[in-house]
Amino acid sequence: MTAIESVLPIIAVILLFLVVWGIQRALQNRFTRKTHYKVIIGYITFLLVALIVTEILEQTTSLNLPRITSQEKVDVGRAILSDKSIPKNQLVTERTHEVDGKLSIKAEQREYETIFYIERSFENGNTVTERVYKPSLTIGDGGNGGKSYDLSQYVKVSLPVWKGQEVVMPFQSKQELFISAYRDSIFISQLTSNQVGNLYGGSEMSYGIVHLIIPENIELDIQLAPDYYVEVPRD
Amino acid sequence: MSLTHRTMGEVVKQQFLFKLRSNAAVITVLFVMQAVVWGLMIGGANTGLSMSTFELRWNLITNDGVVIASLLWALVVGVILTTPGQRNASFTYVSSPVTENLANFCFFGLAAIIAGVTTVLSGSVMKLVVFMKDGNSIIETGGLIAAPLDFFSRIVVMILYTLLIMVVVYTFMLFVQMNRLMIVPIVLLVLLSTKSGVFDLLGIEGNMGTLFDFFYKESSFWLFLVKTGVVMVIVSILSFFPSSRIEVKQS
Repeated sequence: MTAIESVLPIIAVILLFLVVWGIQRALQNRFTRKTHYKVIIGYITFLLVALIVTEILEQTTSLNLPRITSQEKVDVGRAILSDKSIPKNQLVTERTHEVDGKLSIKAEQREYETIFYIERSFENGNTVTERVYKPSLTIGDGGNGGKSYDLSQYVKVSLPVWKGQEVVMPFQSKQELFISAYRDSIFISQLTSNQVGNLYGGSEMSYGIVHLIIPENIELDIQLAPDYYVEVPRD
Repeated sequence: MSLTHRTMGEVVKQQFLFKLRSNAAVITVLFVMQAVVWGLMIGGANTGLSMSTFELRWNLITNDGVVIASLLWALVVGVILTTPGQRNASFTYVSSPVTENLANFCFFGLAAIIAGVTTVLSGSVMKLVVFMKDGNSIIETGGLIAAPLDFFSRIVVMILYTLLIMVVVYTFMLFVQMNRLMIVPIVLLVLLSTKSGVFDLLGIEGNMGTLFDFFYKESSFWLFLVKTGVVMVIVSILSFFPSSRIEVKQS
């Protein structure tokens, strides 16, 4: 830190003082006392009207999003690999499909936000079970016991299209989501029961998952890039 | 010499009302500053997440700027009330350093209440902007209906911080006016509070952060009230010493 940087705060305070003092003197000379009182009353009235309007809007239009800690986030992919139970609310749909002998897995797009988990069952047959899990999207700082906003419900889920002996991940157009947020200053929220979070804490999105359970006798032709599928190891 | 006997309370009240009338512009300046900060903060901070088939954009608005502006204003008000013009005006009344100081503290109290209430209410204006923007809106901190206790606790905290800054700066400035050399320890304190490189060079670590934490890290309402209250009372008592000396010099 240079000497100039060291004295910058003092210079800033002096400048601020001169600015405020200058404004004060200018206002003192140009405005009558009554004008000041009118400004004070008008300003406070405006703030009170804004308070009433926002209180009404807050009750009617604000999103009441669920908040979750990092521990409450469900890692569906890991749960499939470790054969753990997955909460029902993560499941979008469960379907079964009849496939005769061979199954091709493709995607119409080079890059997309879905991963196929391919599990071979020990049984023979023609029925493929498909479970589609929703992607997860959170914003805010979920670290250090903090809570993130769960926006997963706003992410559209594209279901794979089944055509005879092939399953195709269809082309997905780009979805845009815009969120505006407000929070009071952390500096004056030290006594509040609900400590404000850090919405600058970033966002986190996990891909949607298609879990396929395919009988052993069905021949597989996987035409996906390696990053887009995981083969679930057999015990 | 006054022919009618007047109690100290009456003198303080009269001086306080006089200060209120003569310093109405100080309050207007606060509102101007707050309104300017609204304009600067309305854009908010933009951030986002872009993926192949999904894009998230979010915009965060806070009233941090209004809080900072109000606290800086408090600092300047603390200085303004020690200027010779302010002090000389009180000679119009049959006043003593005690009544002069008490009237100033009454003015600080009212100014702090106005600053505290308007700063927290400024949040409503920011919220209104959030609601007017496109897309979905999240209100991270509940308002008066959703969390009334939190709402009022913010007002109390803001009032106490504003009052604390005014009283501390006012007392410092009185000491400076008593003896110009007092500016040296004050400048050193300001440098220390910013953890200045000057102290790093001297091998002294700034511990103002600890002093800040003494107030800021307090989450109990009563303890916070006691801490700020005790510090304000001590500093206020200290302010009577230089103010009496200044008066002697004038006469």
